[in-house]
Amino acid sequence: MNDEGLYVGIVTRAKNTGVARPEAWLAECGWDEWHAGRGKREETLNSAGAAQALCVRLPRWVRGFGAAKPGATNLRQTLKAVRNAVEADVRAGRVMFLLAEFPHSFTYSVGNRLWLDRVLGELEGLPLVVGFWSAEWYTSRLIEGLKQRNVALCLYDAPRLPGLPPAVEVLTADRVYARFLSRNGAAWKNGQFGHVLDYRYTKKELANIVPRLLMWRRKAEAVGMVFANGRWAAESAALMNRLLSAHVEAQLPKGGGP
Amino acid sequence: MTSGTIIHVNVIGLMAAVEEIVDPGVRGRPFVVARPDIPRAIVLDLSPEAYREGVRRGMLVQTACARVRALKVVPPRPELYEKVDQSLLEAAFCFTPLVERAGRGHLFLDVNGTRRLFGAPEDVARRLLGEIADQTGLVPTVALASTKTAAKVASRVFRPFGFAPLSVNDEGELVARQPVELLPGVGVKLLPRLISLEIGEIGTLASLSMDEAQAISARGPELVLRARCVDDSPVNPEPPSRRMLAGETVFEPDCADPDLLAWRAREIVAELGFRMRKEGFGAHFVMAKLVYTDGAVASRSVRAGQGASFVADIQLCEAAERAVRQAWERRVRVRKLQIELGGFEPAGPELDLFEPLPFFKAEPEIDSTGIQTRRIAMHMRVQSALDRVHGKYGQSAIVPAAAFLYREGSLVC
Repeated sequence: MNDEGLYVGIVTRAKNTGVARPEAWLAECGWDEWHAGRGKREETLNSAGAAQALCVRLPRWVRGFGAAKPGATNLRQTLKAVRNAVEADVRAGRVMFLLAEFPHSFTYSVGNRLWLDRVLGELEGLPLVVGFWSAEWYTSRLIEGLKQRNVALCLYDAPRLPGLPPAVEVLTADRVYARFLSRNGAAWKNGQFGHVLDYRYTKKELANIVPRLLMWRRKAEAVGMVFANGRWAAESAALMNRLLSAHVEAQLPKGGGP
Repeated sequence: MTSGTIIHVNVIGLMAAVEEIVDPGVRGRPFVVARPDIPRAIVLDLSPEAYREGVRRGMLVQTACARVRALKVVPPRPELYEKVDQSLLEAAFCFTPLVERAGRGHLFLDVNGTRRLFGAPEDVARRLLGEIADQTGLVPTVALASTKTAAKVASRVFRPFGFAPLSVNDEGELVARQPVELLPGVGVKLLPRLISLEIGEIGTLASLSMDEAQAISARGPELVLRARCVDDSPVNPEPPSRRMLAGETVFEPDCADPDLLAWRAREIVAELGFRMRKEGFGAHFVMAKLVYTDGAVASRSVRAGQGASFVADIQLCEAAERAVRQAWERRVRVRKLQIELGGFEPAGPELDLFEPLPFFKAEPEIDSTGIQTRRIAMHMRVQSALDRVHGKYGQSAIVPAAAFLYREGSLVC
């Protein structure tokens, strides 16, 4: 689907995805994972001529709840190191999204807002996506701020349970990034965390989303979606790819040729 | 988790959005919709790019052009906008008959009871989005909530092109976290007052007691209830302008007393006015219909000035009396009197809904009759108190002293 500006990928957690050949997929990977396999990937990329990393998750020390990067004395240096590391790959189209995902403990406080402002300011120009697990962040002030900075808000497909982010969709930048986690509300509710991501999206569920994704595509330059629903991720991604292809083909003008 | 059944469709900048579809050449460029043929034309609508450059709706086109050099001025096409608006309505009618038009490009739908036909409300909202996109090419913001207020606030937060299906449990908290200016009814007059009181979020407003709310504005308690997402206003499928409130009285014996006739007209119109204000509307006209003893019928109506409406009892009663006087042309007794209020419009601009003064500034007809703006403003405070009493204890709880003069159509004292 790359030609259409729609990118479907999976989360590369080898233990969970159960994918035999993860390299066959566009992937959302962690910062360390991305760094570790960078040289190897570049070789593959150059020969394939295509992007490999759909999205790279920014490290914990950028997201304000981990230790500072070793060797860096302050946040600015830390963020500069991040920018230096990723900028070339972004320009070359090898990384399409950079995800900064903030946990539930990252509350909507003045200090955290200032932190976020600094992070977004230092990483300006990169294809940033921010995701918040605390529902407190879903305010008009944040949405407007993201619009001003051309930063995308990560859209979550997750169960509708108290404390989880609301299932809202909004366009705040020239790109859209959606994470399909699970709709296994029962497991979330009952605390069966081992089964939380064990969810198989049905064809009907994904088909309902397709028109919306195509609509986003009309308004945004790039639409990325990643499946993080455990062992079903690859299957769901493949199904989504097929549905999108079918939709795109159906919309093409049918002509008999000259 | 269950969701509400009220869907709000909000096409932001309908005119500009339509122009972008009709002429893809303007897409991505700063442009405004305005009449280029008149000297002091104002901006009717604008593209997001123009907005980012500092152009605003209502601004003079000359000022806008001075601000943005490359600004393109596109002439408006009202027929086309009306057609698109109608298409939105038709798309909505595919899912429910309960569709309320709340201005151009704004719809409220109540999909309660349609689950077996179309599935869950969220699915309906998604399908509606798809229908609108297919039929018109527009991508509106759609919000799903359990009240019109919550849906409206959500559509103002998650825009443009947003989709906000809120669950019943979450919507209160989500609304509470939003800036107070997003609450319907808080406008340019009220906002500075709220800010000076350090009420910046809807949640802060919601936490006020009714006494504190009363101190903010005459209709502060109503505002606080809205902030708490307590909003029982139904989705009314009838367009406001077509709705009509009517009341009548039959005289036994037939009436030949002009004072009694006038008094009865005032009595009816006061009751109708109370119902009308409860809905947040003002009437554009008051009509009096007389049925004479011999069966002949006469009617006259009194209309408010251009862009104005009758809101307070003092205005309504005066208009009703005038209508009755004009209608009673024959020297024949009257058997029945009917009063109708119609042409309903939101009582003043939405942003100034809770400010009493601005309602009456643009009412030359009322001012020309000698009623001072200040007097009406003062009356509105009394009116507001009376409405609350009537709402709680009924119309008969407080009546003007003059009502005791007339009992069963005759003079008592």
